[in-house]
Amino acid sequence: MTSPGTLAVRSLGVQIGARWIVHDVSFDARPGDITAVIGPNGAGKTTLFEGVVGLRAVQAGSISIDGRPLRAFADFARTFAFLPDAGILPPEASVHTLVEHAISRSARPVALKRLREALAIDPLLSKLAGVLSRGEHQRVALFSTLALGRPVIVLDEPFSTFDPLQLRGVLSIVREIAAESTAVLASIHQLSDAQKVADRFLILVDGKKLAFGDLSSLRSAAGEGPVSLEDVFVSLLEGASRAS
Amino acid sequence: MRRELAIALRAPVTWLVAAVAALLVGHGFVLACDLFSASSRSALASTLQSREMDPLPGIVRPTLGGVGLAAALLGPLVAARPLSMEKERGTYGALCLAEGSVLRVMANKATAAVLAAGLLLIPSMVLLFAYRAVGGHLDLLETSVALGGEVLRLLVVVAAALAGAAWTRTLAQAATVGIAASLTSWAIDAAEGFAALAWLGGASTWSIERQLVPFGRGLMPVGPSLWLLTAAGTGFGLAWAGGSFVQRAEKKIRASLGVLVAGALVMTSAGPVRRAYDWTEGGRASLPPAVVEGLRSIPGRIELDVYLDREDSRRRQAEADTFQKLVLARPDVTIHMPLDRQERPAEAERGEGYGRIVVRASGGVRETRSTSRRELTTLIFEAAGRSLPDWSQPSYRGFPVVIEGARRGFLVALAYGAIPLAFLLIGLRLSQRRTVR
Repeated sequence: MTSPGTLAVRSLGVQIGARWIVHDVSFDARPGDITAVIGPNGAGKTTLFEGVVGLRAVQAGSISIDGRPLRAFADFARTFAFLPDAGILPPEASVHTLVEHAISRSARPVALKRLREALAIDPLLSKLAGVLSRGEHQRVALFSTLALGRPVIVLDEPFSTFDPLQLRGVLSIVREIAAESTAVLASIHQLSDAQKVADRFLILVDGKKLAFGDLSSLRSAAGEGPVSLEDVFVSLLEGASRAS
Repeated sequence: MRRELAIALRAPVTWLVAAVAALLVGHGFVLACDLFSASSRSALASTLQSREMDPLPGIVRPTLGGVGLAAALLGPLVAARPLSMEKERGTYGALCLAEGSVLRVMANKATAAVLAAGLLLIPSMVLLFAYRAVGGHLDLLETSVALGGEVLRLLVVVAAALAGAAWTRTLAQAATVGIAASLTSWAIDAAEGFAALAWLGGASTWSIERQLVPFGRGLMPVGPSLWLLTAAGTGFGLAWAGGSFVQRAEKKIRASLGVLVAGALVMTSAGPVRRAYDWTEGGRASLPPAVVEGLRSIPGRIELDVYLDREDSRRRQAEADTFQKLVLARPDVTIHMPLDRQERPAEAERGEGYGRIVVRASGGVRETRSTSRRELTTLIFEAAGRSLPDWSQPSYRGFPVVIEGARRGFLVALAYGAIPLAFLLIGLRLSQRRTVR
């Protein structure tokens, strides 16, 4: 039995050419939870996200929310807000224009004032996106995604450009947004960041699910030794490599 | 929409392209003015010659020729950009999710692309306005019709570029597709003159230029308008299909084929629609008003069998004048060219039947060897058992004008300097803050 608003991904498979980039991946993302997708480079995180949000054709499995399978693009658009990895905001547009655009597309009320404060958007409003620093750019991109107010927010590498001080504020607002009945799914390269922010973890290796669960269940799966997420990750990865 | 407009109109490349297009258009305009002035010098001395000084073919068409060139070669670059850059920047999918519909994204991108490509029309409008300001004559309605043709061409170019952008990943690929579409139309037109392209001769009805010919003559044609609008609609449809996210690739291909087939069917049906409205000054593209009324009142079909070779100058002249005017009055008139079925020119055989024009109307038949407009029209009425109505027509007096000295200097400065420079300055102003960090 899943809680209302839960995203359920079952046996998902994405094939590019003859190769399965994502194979037989299943997990749930519950409202209020942040699920971190972690894995080595080339594990298929971005392809998994693109498949889940409906931007890439999937060859196997199903994606549903509240038990309703998502089929048409409009279903996906009603469900997901997506922040792509390495996406570049239009440098010709002002931050004000981008912020207004995101707000105008908001599906439900979001604590916009709090979001603007936490991401320090207001000082950037008069600037063009093309003159923003990487951190500023990522703050605006994150705002544009979070402000959409969709039930599931999918963030592909959202935190890599922030300095530790900025990261603290950003993680806190992502937590707050998740607490507003939103399921957050994020790929996070820095395992220390993932451990700080996420409730559950999906470990992906070579397009396959290696483990899924909260930290304590992953610790159990990895054995007695590991304490941090990084230790768990390394231990599980080594175990998988020995097994193969 | 502001987001899309910013992408289209705050990009330096948009204004650079507009400046280059302004130079192309301006050069055509200045050459046209000089030629028209040179002809006007001698025409001013003779009333008969001055009637030939028609600014529509003399000034408007050469100026809009520059627009056509700029639209075909530079238009795709500007038109594809709003969508292509979204794809290159990796934000297209996220934008579609945010907007909730691919169709809405495409509509916004298309609007931005049309507005950006619309900049290419501005120099011609400014220059034609300036031509009037320095004493030249232009009729508003017929000039607007000619300009309307270019607007339709731009719509087709934008749609082709947008479809290219939807089916490719980069701006370079999309612009190449858009330019290739324009060049295909030119290649079809060139088929008549180049043996290497002769195999394209059968595709002449698919030429954009051919559809635009009536507009350049001040005629508002129903068929070509529908053809060009459908071509644009097909392009936008292909863009929507190409940019959509579907779970099965076959669905995308089926949708595209459906759009293509539907578009081709409508365009094929629109091609033969010959109804057109003469919006030239004084209705000079038409037969005299009483004759037009009389022709329309003749019951049944009107048919002409023209026994002249395709290359015969008499036939070419009749096609460019008499037959067009007949079709304008009676779009249902049927003109047969029996000799076109022969492979070898019939004139060389010096057969007795060569050169005949057989006229059939309301059961009557007449025959002549003249291609004169009045002779043929008279025979149509005779065959129908009627007398020729009043042949009088308001005479077109012509508008010779010699533009020289300071007035020419003003136009030259506008064409080669002020307009291109204005585009560059606006582009610089709109995009300068991008470089400040």
